[in-house]
Amino acid sequence: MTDLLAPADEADDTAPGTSLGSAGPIAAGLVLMLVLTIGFGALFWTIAKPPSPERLTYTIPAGTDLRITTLQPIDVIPAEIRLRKGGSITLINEDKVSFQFGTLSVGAGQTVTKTFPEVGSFRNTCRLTPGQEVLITVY
Amino acid sequence: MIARRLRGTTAALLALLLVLAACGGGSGSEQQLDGAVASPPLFVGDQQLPEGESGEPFTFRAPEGGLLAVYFGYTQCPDLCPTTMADIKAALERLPEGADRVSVAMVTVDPERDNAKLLTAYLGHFFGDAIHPLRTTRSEDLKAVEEAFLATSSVQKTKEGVVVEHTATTSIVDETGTVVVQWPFGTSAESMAHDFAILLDREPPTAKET
Repeated sequence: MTDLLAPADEADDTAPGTSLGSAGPIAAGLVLMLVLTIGFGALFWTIAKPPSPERLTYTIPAGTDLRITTLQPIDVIPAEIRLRKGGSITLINEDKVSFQFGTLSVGAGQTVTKTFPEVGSFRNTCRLTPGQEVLITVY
Repeated sequence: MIARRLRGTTAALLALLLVLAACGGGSGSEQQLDGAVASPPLFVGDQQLPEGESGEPFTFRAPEGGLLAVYFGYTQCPDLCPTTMADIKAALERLPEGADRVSVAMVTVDPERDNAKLLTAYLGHFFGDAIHPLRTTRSEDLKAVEEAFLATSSVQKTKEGVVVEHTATTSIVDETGTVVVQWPFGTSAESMAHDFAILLDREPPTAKET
């Protein structure tokens, strides 16, 4: 490659454009190959790269416990949650009491994140859903 | 002139390749734990309960460079407790190294039926000597520790027998007394091992003042 480029360089210094006919197509071919290699490499890198983990966040607003105990409707967590494998659910508790999300506790003022590394369905009791039950499907 | 352009183009393409390679390898951020991570984390390092037959106070902190797994349960538990204990044991057996830096504490929520000897034998069956069987007959002391872990329990005597309800979450505590991860019931041994490996490999945390 260096040999190919050197004469062209010399020619450039002495008589511009005179060696275009011999070195030009080869060099252009090399550049084209490089561009194609990088293009396919970038494409493969983009496709092969795993998607970013899905992150679902639910906020438990202040006063939620009061709303539950006074039988007012709440809209904190849906009864069904679908999540890609490897994704996570984050609960932000802005209330003054702790809540159970299945067997998991979320303290007052705490933020808890749980990852779901395996495919499956998980049915849990949860005061934060209208039916007091949540079905998490990890696919 | 063409040669110079080609050199410039080639250099630019090589630089682009290097950038792409660097971007591809740039995902080495801190590994994510499978268990539940809280912010701010629970601090339990100021909690104590009597340990084993000696009754010496045990503080909820792991030994230096180690981890302490804490579980609230009872020896006559038919399902949750033995399953969790077996999962923790299986997780420790999966670790290529570092399992000897993990100890397991079980707080009985049924101290009337779980005496210290029984509790020690139960826990020892799973984990040998790396255990802390914890028992108190003072319900207020038990409640205080449960609150620190956001755990609950109740024991009710009915016509059919004794009904025990308890939180089935395992908490992993570091040497500062901080709960670094919690595993809800059903967390697989594989996930536990995954988290153990990450946590045992972490830099020692800064000690908190007592």
